[in-house]
Amino acid sequence: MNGMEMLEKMEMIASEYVQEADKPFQKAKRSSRGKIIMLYAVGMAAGFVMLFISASMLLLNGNILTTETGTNNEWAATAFGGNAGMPIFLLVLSVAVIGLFAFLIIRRKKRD
Amino acid sequence: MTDDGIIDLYLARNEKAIMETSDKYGKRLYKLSWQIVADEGSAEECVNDTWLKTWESIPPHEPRDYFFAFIAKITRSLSLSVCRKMTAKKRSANVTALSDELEQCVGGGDPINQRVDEMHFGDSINSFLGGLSEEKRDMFVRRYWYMDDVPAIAKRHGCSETRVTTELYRIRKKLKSQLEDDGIWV
Repeated sequence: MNGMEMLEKMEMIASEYVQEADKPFQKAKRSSRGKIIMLYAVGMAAGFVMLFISASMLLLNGNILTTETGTNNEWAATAFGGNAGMPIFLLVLSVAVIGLFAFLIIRRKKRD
Repeated sequence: MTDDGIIDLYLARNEKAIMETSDKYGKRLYKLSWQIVADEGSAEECVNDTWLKTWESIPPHEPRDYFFAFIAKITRSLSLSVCRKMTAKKRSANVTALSDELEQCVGGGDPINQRVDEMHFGDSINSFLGGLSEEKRDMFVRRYWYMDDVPAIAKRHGCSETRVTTELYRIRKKLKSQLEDDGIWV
C-alpha cells in the first residue's frame, strides 16, 4: 500500500466525524484564544511590576552608571549592597519581557 | 431548503432534489473536487456525476443527519478515481503532498487480507479518531478527508501553521503505531 491508496482509504472515516469537521470550529478557538490572551496579559503585567521594582531600586540607589553606592540612602545601600548591577539587570529584563509579550499580542491580533 | 426536505424530494423521486442539492452544496463539492483533480473540467464532471450517484443511492440510503458528508464522500471518491488515472506527474500538488504525508503511516508490507483488512482498517481508524481530542480530530479530518491545506486549517483553528504541521505529524505517528498494534500491516 502506498500514500495514494492510504488517502483513498480515508473515505472510511465515519460520516459522524466528517459532518463534525464540516461545522465551524468556533468554540474551542475562542476558549483557547481567551486563555492565551490572559497568559500574555499576565506576562505583560509581570514585566511592568519588574520595571517598577527596578526603577524604584535605581532611584533609591541614586547611581546607575557606577557600581559604587554614591548615595547616602542607607536603606538602598543595605538592600542592594551598593551595587547597581542587579537593578540594571532587572530593568533590562523587564523591558525585554514587556517587549516580548507586546510582540506576541501584536502578532496574535494581526493573525485574528 | 433543509437537508430533510431535500431527502424527502429524493425519496419521492422528484428531480427538483438534484437542483436543490446543487444550489445548496454545488460550490463546496466543486471546491473539494478541484482540490483533488486541480482541473476545472474534471471537477465539474465529478460534481455532475455526484448528482447521478446520489440519485441512485437515495433510496435505499436516507442520510438525514449527515447529508453533506454523504454526498461529499461520493465526490471525493469520484475525484480520487480521476486522480488515480492520471500519471504521478500530472497529479495536483495537493494530492502529491497528502500522499507523501500519509506514506508515513503505511507499514512495511501489504495488508494480510484485502477484504478483511478494509473493514478492520475502518474500525481501527475510527476508534483512533474517537480517542483524539476534538481539535486534533478536526485537524486530521480537514487535512486528510477534506484535503484542506495547512494555512486554511491554521486559520480555522486560530493557530500557527507550524503548530498544525506539528500536530499532524504527531497524529500520523500515533496512527501508524495504532495500525501496527491492530495488526493491519504484515
